[in-house]
Amino acid sequence: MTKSEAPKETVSLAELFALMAGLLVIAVYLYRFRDLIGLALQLVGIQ
Amino acid sequence: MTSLLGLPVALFVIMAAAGYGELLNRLLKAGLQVGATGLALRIATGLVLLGWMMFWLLLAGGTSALWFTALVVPGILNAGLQWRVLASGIGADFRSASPLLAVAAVLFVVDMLAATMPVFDADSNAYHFALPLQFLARGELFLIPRAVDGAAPLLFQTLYALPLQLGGEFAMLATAKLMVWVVALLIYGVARPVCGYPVAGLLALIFLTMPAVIYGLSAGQVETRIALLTLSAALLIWSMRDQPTIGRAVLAGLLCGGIAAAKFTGLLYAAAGGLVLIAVVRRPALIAAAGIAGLVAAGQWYGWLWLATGSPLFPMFAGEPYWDGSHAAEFGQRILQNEAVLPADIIGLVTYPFHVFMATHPGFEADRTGLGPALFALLPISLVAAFRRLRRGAILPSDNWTEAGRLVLVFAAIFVLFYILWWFFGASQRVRHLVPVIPLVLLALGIAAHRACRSRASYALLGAVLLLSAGIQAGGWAFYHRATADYIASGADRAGALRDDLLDYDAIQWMAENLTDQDLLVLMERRNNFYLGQPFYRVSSDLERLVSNGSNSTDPRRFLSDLNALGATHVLFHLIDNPAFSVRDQGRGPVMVLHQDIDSLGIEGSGIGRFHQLVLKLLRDGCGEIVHLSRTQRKMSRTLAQKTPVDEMVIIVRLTEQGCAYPDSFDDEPTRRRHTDWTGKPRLSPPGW
Repeated sequence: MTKSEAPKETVSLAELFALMAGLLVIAVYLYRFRDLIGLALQLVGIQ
Repeated sequence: MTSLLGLPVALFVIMAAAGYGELLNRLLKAGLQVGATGLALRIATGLVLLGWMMFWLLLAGGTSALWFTALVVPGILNAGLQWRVLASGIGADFRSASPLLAVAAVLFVVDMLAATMPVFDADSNAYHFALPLQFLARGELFLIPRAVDGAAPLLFQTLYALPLQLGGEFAMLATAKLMVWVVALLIYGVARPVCGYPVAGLLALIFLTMPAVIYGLSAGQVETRIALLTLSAALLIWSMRDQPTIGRAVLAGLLCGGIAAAKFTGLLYAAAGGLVLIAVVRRPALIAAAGIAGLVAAGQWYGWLWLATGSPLFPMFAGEPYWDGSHAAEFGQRILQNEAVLPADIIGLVTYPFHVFMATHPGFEADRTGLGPALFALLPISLVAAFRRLRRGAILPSDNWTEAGRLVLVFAAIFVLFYILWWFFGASQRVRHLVPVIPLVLLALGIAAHRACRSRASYALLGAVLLLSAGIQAGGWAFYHRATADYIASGADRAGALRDDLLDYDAIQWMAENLTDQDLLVLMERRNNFYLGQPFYRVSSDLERLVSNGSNSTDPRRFLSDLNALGATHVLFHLIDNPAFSVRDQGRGPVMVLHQDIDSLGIEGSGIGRFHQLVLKLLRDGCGEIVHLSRTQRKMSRTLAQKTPVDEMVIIVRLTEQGCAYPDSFDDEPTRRRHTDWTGKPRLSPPGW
């Protein structure tokens, strides 16, 4: 089960949008749980 | 007491499973592959076989260490004899993966250190780890006639009894953790040939640090262990297109049966897996072989439940004495409706993932025990691969799909079918109940996303998405294990940890000194079950009907009769301070003084329910005396250091016939003692043992 196609030189627009969407999802996740993350940081004395 | 022997015992149990798995592989001529995937598949099938044998051994009363040793030794011997097969290919799978192995080693060591800590998880203390303890204490498998956490298929709970008997609590916890590590090994083994080791390693790491998995891994939650069986079964089903052998069909059936033997909702997985198997192989002989194997693997649990309770799907379809129609209605209203946050309809089915991602309702438990960001972040990337395939017009599996494409298709199909069935027929909408199928989604999305990235730059960006997800989750993992670090830094002070964090610690200490196996403690909460050293029974308005059945039953005479039928001698209950009563010491121990009518006390938020009122009535009527009084504080979250603002009284009442206003309640024979009796000795003992 190996990848057969050789890597391309440029990123397609669809790939770029999808990858940016992936990063955006992570940003939304961090924003959604900012209170929980803040509490955790507070408990370990970082914030 | 933590014994260091625990870790070798846990490793031997997993080794025995690998040995039995290899034995099945040879006997069935299944031709399982070697390497990380092959080893994990053998362990998964071996665990199902071990659990199957454990059922019969426990049922027969063979719970001594000698029987359990006899059970694992053949597996260990076979693993020793076949070690070349079991170890073959592992080195190649992890070649060039030193950074990954270094990270895995850190996680593993911390996990094993965490296994030396006392168990505080409520569900694990209530039944995952308490049931094996009860079976060992009683000396056999016996019916605990309670819905949800008593009368149910218990594959993993019976498996836990094995290391618990042979190596103690640490061995049990370490074995439970090793099972989840095998899931990570399998994820890596499946993904590596398709995605290469960095992505495969990150996917395994993402699974291990997913909040729901951290939670399950650190406790005895069966969902995290079932994930090993679901992924193994799905992999075998996928492989049967190219290798449609009876042996593989039997193994796939055994695994699906094992899932059904571990949890009622496993039946839904068996249905989903079965449908996909039919679509993949389309040969009646293979489908029949898988079906029969599944029946053999799971049938004993459902047959036993049927014989013992009158229903194979207790409490559904069950009747007296353990259930009835009115009780079913109350159970549906109070338990099932509470668990269903969204209506089980099409809109809920489609929107549930969004609700889970945003943790829109506490009922989903999607924050601290949620799925993390990776699955949702991988979704748009994997969709690129899906759209490309659609654009090529190649949709049917026969349309020139690669092996990896078919793998994604099979995993996605099983997941979607299971998800639909779970949504409409499952009992709970807590997202951690989906953990058994999360490896399927993770691999399907991970592999599809990897194939979507065709350039080095996009591959690097995918790496960034995975690394970010894993990094965020690793932060949560590190925060969670702060407690492990504190525990080790305290010199592994077990007594201190229990004193600080165990609800009812003082009462449990008192009971250890004052109660015996002849006593029976009745209690209203389940979170301390694992630490109770004597027989116990938990009363509940919703989950059992042996004590004061019926939500309107407030008759203390009937309550006392029912308690005596169980053989109860003591009752433990909590009270929050309330001007309606006070406890005074009048020279002969603490005495409850009531300032208000007991029937008027059951106000929302008072912490006083129907059973509290009934015990107060027993005290009022001279049928019980307070023999222990202490205070405790409830922890809402150990990890987040959250406690309830008030502490509570912990009261132990001894039932007394002398002076009781209705002494005839003591005349009844303890006819239901069979559900609570601990003989303390294995029924099936070899001569001289």
